[in-house]
Amino acid sequence: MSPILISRFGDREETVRLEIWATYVTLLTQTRLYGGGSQTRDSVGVKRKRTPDGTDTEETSYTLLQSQVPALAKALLNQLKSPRTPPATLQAGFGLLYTLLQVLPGSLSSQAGLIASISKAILSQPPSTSSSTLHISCLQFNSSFFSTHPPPTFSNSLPVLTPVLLKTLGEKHPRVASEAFKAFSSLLGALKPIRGQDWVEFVYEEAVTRLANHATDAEVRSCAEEIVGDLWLCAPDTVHVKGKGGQEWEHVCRSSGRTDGAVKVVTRVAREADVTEKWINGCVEWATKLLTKSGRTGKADVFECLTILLSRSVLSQLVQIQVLLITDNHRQI
Amino acid sequence: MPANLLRSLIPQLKSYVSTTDISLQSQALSLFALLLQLSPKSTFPEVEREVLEDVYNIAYSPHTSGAALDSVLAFFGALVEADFQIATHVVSSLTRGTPEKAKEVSYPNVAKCVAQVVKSYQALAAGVIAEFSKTLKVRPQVVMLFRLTPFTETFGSTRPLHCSSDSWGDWSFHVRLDPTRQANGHSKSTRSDMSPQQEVFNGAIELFASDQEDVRTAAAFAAGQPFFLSLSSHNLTSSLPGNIAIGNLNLFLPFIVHLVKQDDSKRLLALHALKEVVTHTSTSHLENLAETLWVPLFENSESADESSRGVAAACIGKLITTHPARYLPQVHVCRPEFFLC
Repeated sequence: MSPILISRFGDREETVRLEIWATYVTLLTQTRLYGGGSQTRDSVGVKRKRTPDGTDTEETSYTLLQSQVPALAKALLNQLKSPRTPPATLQAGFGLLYTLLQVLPGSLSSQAGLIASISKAILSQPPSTSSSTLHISCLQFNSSFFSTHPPPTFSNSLPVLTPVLLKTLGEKHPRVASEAFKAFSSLLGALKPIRGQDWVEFVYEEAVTRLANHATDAEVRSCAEEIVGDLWLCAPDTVHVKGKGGQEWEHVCRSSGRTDGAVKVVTRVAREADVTEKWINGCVEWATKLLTKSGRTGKADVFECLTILLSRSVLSQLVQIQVLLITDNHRQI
Repeated sequence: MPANLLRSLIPQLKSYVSTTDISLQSQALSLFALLLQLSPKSTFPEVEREVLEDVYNIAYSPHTSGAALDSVLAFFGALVEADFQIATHVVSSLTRGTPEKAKEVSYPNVAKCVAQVVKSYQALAAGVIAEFSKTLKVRPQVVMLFRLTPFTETFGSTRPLHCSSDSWGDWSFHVRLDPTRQANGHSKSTRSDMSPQQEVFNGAIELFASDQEDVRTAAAFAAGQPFFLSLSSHNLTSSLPGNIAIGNLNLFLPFIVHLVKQDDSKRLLALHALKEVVTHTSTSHLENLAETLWVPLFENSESADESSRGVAAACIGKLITTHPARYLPQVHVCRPEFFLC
């Protein structure tokens, strides 16, 4: 069924084309549920095939789909690359590609260049009331693309893509801005550790600007908090230079409003990043204040955060002592 | 950790040390334990002054179980390790405390807390055993009862004994320390190391006839322990002359097997004792025991009593793992229904 549907991906009638794409999305979703990966050998849809050398190979829905991805991507992207393609069609196309990556992560490696140019064309347009959903779909797909493909696949496309993504980061539309932050989160995670990339500084500054502004939308704020954590984990050199003592944490670690996202980010950074004694003590002080807030919501997370911070505190002291000892030994030598 | 941070953190954490919200209370106690480990000198005085009394009440509470009890144990462990001098005080406070309603005291919890204190400060073990022994008239039962009787006396409860088998393991750990230390340190004779175990064993067997089910259960659990202890001490003292393990094995095991074979009234409890032996014995030791245990256990797997069948089957399963090629075909031929599930 899949090859027949793919052969009609470029159907002349647009409504028919969209119906076919929607059908293919359903097929992909079903493949994901019942496709029979290597761990479900006995599931429905597994077919034995004898190769010329006499050995048996198993044909699952996944392997069949994998073999059809090049034709699928070519047919679909040909429809999307035209500048005259209406936003609804583009959105449906990105929806299909997004679903494909959920079923077969990393399956669009050979199409990175074309995907980047289509994304650039879409994101270069300012999001209007009608096209903001397209921007969101495009950004969601790009997040998925970055997190499911190896960096060499898309590193050549980054000079094309990052400027428009940075522009989208500053958009007023809260969902568009949130998805742009998420796209950068995926990118940071994929490229970790990052050194000497200009766009990292812009991301940092935009995040700090959003966090410092009290009028920032809650979702955008949450994504900005998340990306501060990503920057500390994936681009420590940049934040240590730009951070100037961690001004971003003054905005992340606030006592009023919702603090659940901030607690999680602090916990993650305390657990995984290279942090200083001063930073730990500041965060312990902040978390202690959160314990005084009334209500039970989020208290369990605050306790976990404090546990990690206090454990790191000792580790950090031990490292300092070791550094002092090593320095002292060197001096003696 | 800066002192001012501790000063602000401890009162905040203290407000969660209550039975109002057990989950948060558990996390708060775990944090106190962590603070006591990280900066014992500065945390200990504050905790002793501000928090300790409340933790006693939490330890008494029957609602304290699972993760919450684990955090209480971690707290007592860290507290004692922060300053060993408090260990005696904690043990006496835990056992001398007199809540208004004795029914609201979880004796197993208190026993576990005392055990934790002794584990964290093992030098206290001999003293605690001696202290509790004083209150007991029947010496052979000291090990099993010293975690039980003092509480009933001090709390003035009419219930003579309250116990659960799982608490027993905590005490057995400490009993094991004594013979090992004696054997390593002062070259005491094998016989003198074995004799306390003989007394404990006899005391446990006597309690098989108790009219209280939980006491009988604890006694069955206890009866299985001497083997565990002796086998463990064999591991620890294998370089010493004489073989403590085999000596004790010859001494205790035939009696238990005899009970399984001959005594209808004590059969189930004796099987539970065998289960303890089988469960806690290493595979290499179990290989030696397997032949002795196989026949009585296999016979009981056909017993009319469902509980006996269940315990025997559990033991048989473990025995099979010692020599599958030998035992599995026997089970396959004689008890094919074992393979149905």
